[in-house]
Amino acid sequence: MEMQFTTLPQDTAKVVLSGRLDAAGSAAIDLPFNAAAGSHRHVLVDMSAVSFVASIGIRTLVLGAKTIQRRGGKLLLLNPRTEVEQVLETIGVTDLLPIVHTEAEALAAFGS
Amino acid sequence: MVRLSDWLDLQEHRMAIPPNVAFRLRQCLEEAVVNLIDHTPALSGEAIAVELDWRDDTLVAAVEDSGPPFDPRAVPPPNRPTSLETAVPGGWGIHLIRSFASDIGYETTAGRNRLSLSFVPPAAGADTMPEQR
Repeated sequence: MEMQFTTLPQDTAKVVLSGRLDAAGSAAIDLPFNAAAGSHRHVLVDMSAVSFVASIGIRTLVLGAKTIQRRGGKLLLLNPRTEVEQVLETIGVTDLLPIVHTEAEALAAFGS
Repeated sequence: MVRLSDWLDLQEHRMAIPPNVAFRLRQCLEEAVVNLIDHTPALSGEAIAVELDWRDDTLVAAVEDSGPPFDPRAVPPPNRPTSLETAVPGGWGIHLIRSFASDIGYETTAGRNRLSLSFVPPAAGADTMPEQR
């Protein structure tokens, strides 16, 4: 699991994850992910290169989203693959981790 | 967990596991083995054995461990989280196993627990999504 991070307008961190967000992947990104989330108002997590997500990885995302919301921000997921989206839907967290398909859509949601 | 992941990569290739079954299998085994390690601290990875076998067109996975007996079929489904404020992550792994495996068996004999998960490939031409239950 790899993580890259850039900044977008509106005090947004864009976090690009790639690989498998399984137990090993979650352990690898927990600290850098929380650091990126902690230093920005909003977080956009690019999921397009994530091939697998385990419940432990969704836990990392949900805990991040909780922290960000407490500070008045939002966490959105960008373009998860079909199978990853299916896992999110099965657990029932697509309302908590809303999905967008473009950066523009994300920035519009952050600005609303 | 790296070992499970690498081992699955190899088996997917060796056993010619189709993508839909490979996805459901990886989800279920990852969740089952993480649950065992999380809930049984004394259980090392060495004490967990995973087997895979094709039985006709059904892939059967077995996870064996020597921890306390735990039948995942007896666990009630988690509540669907309704808001970030109240969401409490937990119980999701078992819910995923029950959703993605075609059938689940469990038995405990002489201190060994055996969880059997079967995966039926989708019918040719059918939607590639696993059935939601």
